[in-house]
Amino acid sequence: MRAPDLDRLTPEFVRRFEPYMPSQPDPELMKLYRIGHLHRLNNNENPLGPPPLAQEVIRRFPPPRAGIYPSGDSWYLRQALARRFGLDPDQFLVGNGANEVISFAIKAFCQEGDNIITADRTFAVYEWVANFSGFEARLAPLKDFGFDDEALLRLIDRRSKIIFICNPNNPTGTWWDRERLERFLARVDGQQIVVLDEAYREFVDRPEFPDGIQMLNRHPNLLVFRTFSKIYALAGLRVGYLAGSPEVVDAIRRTCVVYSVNILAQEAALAALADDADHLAATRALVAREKAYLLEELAALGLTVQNGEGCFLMIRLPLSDTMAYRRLLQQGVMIRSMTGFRFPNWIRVSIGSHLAMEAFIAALRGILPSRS
Amino acid sequence: MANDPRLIQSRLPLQPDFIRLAAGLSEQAGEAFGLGRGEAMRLCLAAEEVFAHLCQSLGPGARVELDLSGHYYYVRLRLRFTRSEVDFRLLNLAAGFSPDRPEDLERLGLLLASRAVDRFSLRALGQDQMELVLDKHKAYPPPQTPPPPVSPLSQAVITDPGPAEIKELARLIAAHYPPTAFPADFGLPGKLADMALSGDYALLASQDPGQAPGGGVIWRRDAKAIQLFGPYLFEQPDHAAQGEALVEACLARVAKSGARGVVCRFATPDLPRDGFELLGDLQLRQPDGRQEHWPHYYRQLEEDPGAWVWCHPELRGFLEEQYQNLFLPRGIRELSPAGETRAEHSVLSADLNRARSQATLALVWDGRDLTANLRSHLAALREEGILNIFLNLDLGSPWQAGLLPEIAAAGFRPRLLLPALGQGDLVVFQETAD
Repeated sequence: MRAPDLDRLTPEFVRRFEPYMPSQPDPELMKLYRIGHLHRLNNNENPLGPPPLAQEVIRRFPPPRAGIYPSGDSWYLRQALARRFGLDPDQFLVGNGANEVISFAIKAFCQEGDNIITADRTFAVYEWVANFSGFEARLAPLKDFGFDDEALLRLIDRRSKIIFICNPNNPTGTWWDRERLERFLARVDGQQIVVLDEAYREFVDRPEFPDGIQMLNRHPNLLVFRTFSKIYALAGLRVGYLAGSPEVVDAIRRTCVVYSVNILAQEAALAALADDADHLAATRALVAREKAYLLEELAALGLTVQNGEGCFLMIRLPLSDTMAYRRLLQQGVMIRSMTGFRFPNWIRVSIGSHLAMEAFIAALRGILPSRS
Repeated sequence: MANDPRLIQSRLPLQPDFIRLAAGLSEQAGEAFGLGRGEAMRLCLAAEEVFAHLCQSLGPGARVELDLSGHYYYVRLRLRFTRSEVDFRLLNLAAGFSPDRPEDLERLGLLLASRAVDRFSLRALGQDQMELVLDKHKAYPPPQTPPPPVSPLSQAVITDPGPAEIKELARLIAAHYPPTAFPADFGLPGKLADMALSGDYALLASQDPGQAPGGGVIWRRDAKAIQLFGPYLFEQPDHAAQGEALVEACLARVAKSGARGVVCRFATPDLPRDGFELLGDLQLRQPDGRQEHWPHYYRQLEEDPGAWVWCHPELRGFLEEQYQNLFLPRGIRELSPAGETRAEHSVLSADLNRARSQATLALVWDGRDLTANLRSHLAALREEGILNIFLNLDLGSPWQAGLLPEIAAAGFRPRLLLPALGQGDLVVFQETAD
């Protein structure tokens, strides 16, 4: 049997692309690092876990139902989202995590020669999906750690289809207020789809922070992405959704994969939505409390910090971030090294339980070069 | 690819009648791609010798894919052929070489070929194909004009230099740094400009509009690593800050390239040591008998996922020390020969850099004659005047890891570990005279 001629079979843009290798499962990492405990502070997971009702749904899930196909388009979940936000259920699409809805949108609007626009140092998946789909990702440098509206607008040409804004930005936590977002949308004037990724919006408790879903009626080219992975703590089940005008969502629906959200994920997300008031408040309180603790400790260590909104902050280290990753992991603390976000020598740490924050500070203190 | 005007592809029968065609094609393509007459003739000689060898080894009925590609500063001759029918020994740089019989050299076509070109490598492609690559570099004149005057930049901005600025950078590097601080090619303005044009190298400059560059950093992408050079700063009072900004800008450029790490073998004092790890020093023998330290710096670009590596028990101590110093999470699996069947003859690849008097060997195929083969290579390379001979051992490849005793018997000692730059971690061995 001859080996397949991959040079011929694989498109050139795929050959150029390097595969993404996720880190090994925790038990394997723990074996290699010879550690008995792991504080996961790398993926911005909520240490409180899902809301109580969602936990109950997961606990009571009847195993025989795993043999039944889920709703192909998350019918009940879309109904619930529509009730929550006062929109039509057809204005929502649910995907296997927000990553999948990013793919849906890019597939729906881009064809050969088109481009998407975003920042150079933001959530990597916009650029990543565009590249491996064969589309150009145009990147505007951040300005003062935030999205630069003028630089984004300068990159637009007639082949620009989507502009991705991460608000608040992962990993810098910077954000646009309502007024700035309105101004930007007015400048775009409906010529491109503007995606507002609000994966971390539920962590923000500021009156001037825009609610993208509330703006949909005035801006039919606006698409809002949200997720159940972060504050709702359903990351392991993978549920994300988008909301937009009926016409734009109808266009995306043509490219979206049905049945990609499993039955347990749909039911847990429904339950999370129905029981989130106390959970959201408790999570915000934990993040505020532990961030304050971290900021105080990091200031005492003399480290530069980039702190904004969201359940994370960035720290600049006087050593390589990838080495810091290894040395912290040897002490049972897993953080995110930031070279891959184009922030060499910075790390991002997720806000976790107080125990985890103390463990992080102790481990960090141990790896910093002594100051003379 | 098929429409690339700088690529000529052919598929030729491996018969002596076609030797002249292969040689003529190489010569004419070499000239068309910018080589001078003398360089094109040497590429022609290399093609002729290699083709003749393959005819002899593979016999009638076999074919070879012969590609010639122009890369602005060099021309590459690449031959792909079926491995199963080749007597692998003939592909060794030192095949059949005996230091006691200098007349043997006349029969060493591949050795002649390797002398005619600037780089020479051989590798296995999957189970049944081999690829032989010969690169002939274009000759460039030394700088014709003095370097531009430099002065402190009023506002240093990182920019992508154009060809004219790149040539200025080359002149400035050669004028402001000792020859040991940069590869000789960087001192040739036209060559550095062509190296950037080829896409093999990339540069960033620290600049002020209308002024000569205050500094620059250069890098190239290899299989799994970025090679970083510099940063080079020219009389800048804030050289440390400019150096750091240049290196950070470079890291941001390569962060999503898929490369696993950045290796710096030509570090200047302005390389921000905070962001790099010192892997260790190699000792370089100089023609005048002096030994020079050759520090290797490194940083990963990605989070290390941890790995299991294979090693012979005798290498375990070295590895454990390296892994501890570098905080690398590795599980070690020991293995050693247990009388299993081996091929008769081994194959090595050799990457020569005559300008630096260096050769790096790598294991292509195991065989019972490995120690003898390594010794033959050492003899051939010494005969060539090569003073510094290294060997890379890939710990991700179990058959290689078990060969330590034979490598040691040939006089190689482990010196450095390059994390994750092969299928697994690479151990760099250096041939020692003792």
